[in-house]
Amino acid sequence: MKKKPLNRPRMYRAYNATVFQSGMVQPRLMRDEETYYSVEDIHDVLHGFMEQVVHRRTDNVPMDLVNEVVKYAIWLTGGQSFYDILAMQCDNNALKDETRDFLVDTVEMLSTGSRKMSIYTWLRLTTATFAEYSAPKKGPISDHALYDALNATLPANPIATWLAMDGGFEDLLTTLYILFAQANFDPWQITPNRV
Amino acid sequence: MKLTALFTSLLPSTSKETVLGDINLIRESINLHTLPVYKTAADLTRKAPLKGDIAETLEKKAKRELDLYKDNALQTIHTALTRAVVNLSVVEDLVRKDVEQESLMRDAMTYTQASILQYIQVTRFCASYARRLLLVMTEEASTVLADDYSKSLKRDIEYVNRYMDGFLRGINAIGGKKQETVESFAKIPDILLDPDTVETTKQTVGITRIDPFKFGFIPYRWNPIYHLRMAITNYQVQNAKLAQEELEALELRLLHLKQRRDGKENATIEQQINYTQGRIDKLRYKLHRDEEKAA
Repeated sequence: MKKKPLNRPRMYRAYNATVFQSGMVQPRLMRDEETYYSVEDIHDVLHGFMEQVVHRRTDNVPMDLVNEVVKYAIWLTGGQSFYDILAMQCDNNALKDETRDFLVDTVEMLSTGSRKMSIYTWLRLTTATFAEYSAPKKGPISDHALYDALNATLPANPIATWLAMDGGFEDLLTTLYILFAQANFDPWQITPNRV
Repeated sequence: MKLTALFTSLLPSTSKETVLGDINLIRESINLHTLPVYKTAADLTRKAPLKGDIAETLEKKAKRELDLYKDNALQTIHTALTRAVVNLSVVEDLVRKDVEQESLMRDAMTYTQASILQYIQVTRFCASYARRLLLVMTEEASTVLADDYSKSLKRDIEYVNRYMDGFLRGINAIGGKKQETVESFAKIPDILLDPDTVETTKQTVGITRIDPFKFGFIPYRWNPIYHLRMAITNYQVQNAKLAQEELEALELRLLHLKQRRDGKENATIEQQINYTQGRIDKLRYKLHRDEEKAA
């Protein structure tokens, strides 16, 4: 019997990563092989935070909750490798156009201090679902805006800079909600969690 | 609005709380819903101005009539509205100090109080007109609306053309520096306003002291809460919602314009613009209906 060659060349990079429904790829959530983070769980956690912070009916947010959210944000965005993960999305063609534009706006906000479009408009734009009759675009990405944005001078400690901005806390949370939970979200879709 | 016209249409009394709350809402609507889009629009059009009839008319008129004209019309309006936010706090202080009773009584109103009411109404008009103006201008520059929504746009164009002169005069009035505004309010004599003797007072005291902001020349649409008995809270909530939707529509259109200039097309944004326009139309209809009902 003929033996299969062991190291078959792969057509894609074989990193161990979590893929979200928005198309974001986050390799840092998969470092140990025993823990398995389900995208649905992350969705539920972020949804809970949104209910308690952005859609709250009280005057202020308790400090414990703020700590919890910030810790979660650091974990989700990869801590030290915040910019590495963003750079990884430059050639990620699973991202939709508007999600990529949103990433560009977010990176530009970190360097300039203001968004071109308010976060809640982005939320509506990226979460609106439309019937699509064409296959998603595949192939090399011609849009270099994200790459250019990442080449600008960026703060060394992005999360701290973000939180220091006017309305930064809610902005941070809503950004995570868009990227890791809500954009392109379809509860009936069975997500391939690993690549 | 002329002083006599203001006086005769005013409600017998308006509570101080209503006025202060209104000032707060206007400030919020300028800060949150108008200034950010004007900044984006001014950045976008610095090198390549928007195309279209209304954009050109505005540029021409603004150059001629605005005292603080600099760079281009959008930039100037942005500056004026930024100053208006500061000036509103001057007005707020005046309301707190000058109005001793719990409410503004029509029959015991001084010239200062009348000017305060006019100032608030003009600021509100300018903020909402500015958004509507930019909506029409961006729509002219890139036609994205579907057929059923371009009908509502024709009404907008009519509105924008009819009130443009008034808007520019209003921008002149509210765009003064803080010190100038304080001085202008201090100039107004502390006399009771009597509609029968307005003409005589004008001649004895002087028009520049009675109406330093030249409100008499602005035929703006008044703010109904001072003139009609209506469910004020409901009206204000609807107004805030409308401002939010207009902001969203504007941001989406500016993004669309920018992407077009970069040579990208995104059908999702166009579809979303049409949805927002539908919501705006509905809210405008609701507000209009409430005003009719109250009158």
